[in-house]
Amino acid sequence: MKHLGTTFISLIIIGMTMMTSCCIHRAADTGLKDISAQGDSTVTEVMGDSIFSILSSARTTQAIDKSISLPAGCDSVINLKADATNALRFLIGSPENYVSDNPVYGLFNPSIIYIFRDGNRQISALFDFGLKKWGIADKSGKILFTRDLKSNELLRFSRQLFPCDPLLESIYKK
Amino acid sequence: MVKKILSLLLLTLIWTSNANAQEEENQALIQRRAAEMVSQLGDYLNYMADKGKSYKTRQYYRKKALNLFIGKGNSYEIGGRQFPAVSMQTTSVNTKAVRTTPMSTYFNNLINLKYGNVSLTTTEVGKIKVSDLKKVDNDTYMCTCYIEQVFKGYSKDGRPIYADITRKSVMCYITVEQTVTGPEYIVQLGNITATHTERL
Amino acid sequence: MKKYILLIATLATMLSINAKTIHWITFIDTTDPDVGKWDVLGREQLYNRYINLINAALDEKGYNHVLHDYYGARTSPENCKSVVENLSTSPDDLIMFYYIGHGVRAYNDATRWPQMALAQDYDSKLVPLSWVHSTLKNKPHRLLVTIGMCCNSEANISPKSAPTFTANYGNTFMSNEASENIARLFLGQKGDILLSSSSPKEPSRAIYIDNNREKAMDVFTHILTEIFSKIMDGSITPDWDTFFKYVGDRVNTIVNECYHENQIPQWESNLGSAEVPDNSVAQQSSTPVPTSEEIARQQTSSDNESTDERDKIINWFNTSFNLMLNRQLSDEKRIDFAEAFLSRLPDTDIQVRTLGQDSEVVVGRQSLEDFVGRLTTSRVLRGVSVAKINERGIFVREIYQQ
Repeated sequence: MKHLGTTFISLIIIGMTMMTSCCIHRAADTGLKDISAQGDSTVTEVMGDSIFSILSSARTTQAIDKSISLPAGCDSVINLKADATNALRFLIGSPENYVSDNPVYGLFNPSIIYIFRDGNRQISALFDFGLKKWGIADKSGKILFTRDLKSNELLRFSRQLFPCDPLLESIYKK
Repeated sequence: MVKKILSLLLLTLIWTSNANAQEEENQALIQRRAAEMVSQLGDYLNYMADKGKSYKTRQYYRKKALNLFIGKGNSYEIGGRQFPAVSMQTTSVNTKAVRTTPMSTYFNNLINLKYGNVSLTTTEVGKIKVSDLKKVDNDTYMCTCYIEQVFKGYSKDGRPIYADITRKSVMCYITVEQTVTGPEYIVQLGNITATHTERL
Repeated sequence: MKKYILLIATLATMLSINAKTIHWITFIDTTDPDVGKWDVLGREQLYNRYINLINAALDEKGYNHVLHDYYGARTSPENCKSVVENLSTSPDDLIMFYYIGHGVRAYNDATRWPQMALAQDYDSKLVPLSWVHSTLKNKPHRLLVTIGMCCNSEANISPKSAPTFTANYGNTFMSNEASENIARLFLGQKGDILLSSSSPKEPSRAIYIDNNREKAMDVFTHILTEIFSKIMDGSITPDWDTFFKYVGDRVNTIVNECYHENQIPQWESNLGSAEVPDNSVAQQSSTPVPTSEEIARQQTSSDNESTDERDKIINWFNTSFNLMLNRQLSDEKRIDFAEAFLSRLPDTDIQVRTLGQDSEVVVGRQSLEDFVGRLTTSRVLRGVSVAKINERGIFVREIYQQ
């Protein structure tokens, strides 16, 4: 009985808090569960099993820099080695990057794309570091979801791959 | 199971409070509208009493002022019941008598007062107090606006002859009409009663 | 009929010779899948709590107002380029540009101002806010205020100094003190000012209003109208730098609290002081008169559609209604004007519905004839603005003297 009372009061308090905050935090549909555990469960819940399986079992990963400011002579397409792919998978799988998709008055215009391929299957992870947003697109390019980037880890990773990209450098300097 | 019931209770609480918030917001809008219309009436009264304005124009204002009232100064119907034309109560510190006059006649009397000039001012719109809405019929509500009127009469040479301040209650009728885009609230003025007068 | 035509012509001639106008150019992206629905509220608040009040106050100083109200499908780079380039003004005019929608900046942009997306996302069609400002600055004006409410975060786009495409054409209670403070803000300074709602590399954000999860809009416009009310009541000095400083501080505080990020509005002002003119009557003849067919067509069209015709009809009704309210005309002249106005219309039984403050709830209804009669004889109504016209009639908002 006491447990029920406590649970009821907790729900009321949560409800009242939600009702009184003016901040728009658009929480991910299913990403609020188990966010303390960095692991596969968060990623699978948001992505769905089929997408997650491509991400986790992709044999090859390709990094593309679409920045229009990339100087001539700089690589715009890089095939990632196994250790870089693993590092990338780890960073993408960080639960903090699935928590929210807060609306902003800017266009989602990704300049860095990571393509994961597993045989015939393919997904792309898209990054707009200026807007601090990222998303996943399917093979046809259709964006399946977008989320907020909570840290600069993926920006730092991308800068190491594309050190001569002035856009990434400028954003990082912020 | 218990958690589901508690969640449902919480959702009901949230939904109910949203619905109540909307009703409260609508009431506030209606009350504000009632105050605006009473302030409009106050201005009409001031104009009609002003001997400095042309008689013809004051009569024109009289006709427009009647449009603020339910029935436009004629008898009216609420919920199938007939009511006589809206009326104005007037008082005087000299006689203590309370007179009730049909609004159209009152306006005419105001225009034709025997003073050299008259000043009639009413509470400004931001200070008009408005009661909560009360349901009087299926689609009709009522509220009351409380105002103070200052009447000053002058002789032809500008000497003040009479002045008083009267507290009045203005009844307002709100008719609710359901339309495809939601309810519409039509606010109209009703009878005006005098509650207290004192000499200035 | 001849008598009325002569009366209108006489009225037009006897009023002040030089038309003074405040031109409002607003582009609001109400169709965006992400923020469009919030921008609908943003537009309403901007008009109800800012634009309509300013128009009512400046009407007493002899200013007409003309709206170029672009929203819905008419929000486009082509329309923006067109209206900005083709705006015709006089030296005493005020020009107000306001944008709500998406924006971005190039990392290597020479200026600190964003480029506006205007409901599309092609890099080649983005319109620089600074271009709007510099183009309008070249037109005669007394005061120019250019405001862009959009993100200013860096993106994969090219810097621009001007649009790089060619246009394809084939669109509540105000007191005397409040009115004077508005006049001091808009007429007490001359020059130009350019503002964006965020600094370079910053996005612009939205919030829920009054903790109501059904209502959200962009933070900047919400705070702008909130601080504007303090200008009106005299708590804040009516000058642009002070105004924007308060807005900027508050916007950044709220965004910090909600999102733990910065959003610092930035502006550049080139202003000098000017003398606020005395009250006078606005000249009405410069407002194009719609035909009966245009009015009838507007009544059957969707009131959500922003069109040139809609602007024309609404501008005409607004100008006419506010002339009827103008107390610089004699009471008899106001009545005569109202009768002449009604005689132009095929149907004076059109219903006029009064909307509540900041609301779509109807709180009053009367025939156009009775409505005009009320306007003409009112000394407590400061201003009226038409919110929309559709098959159910004309929807208006009224501003009362406090």
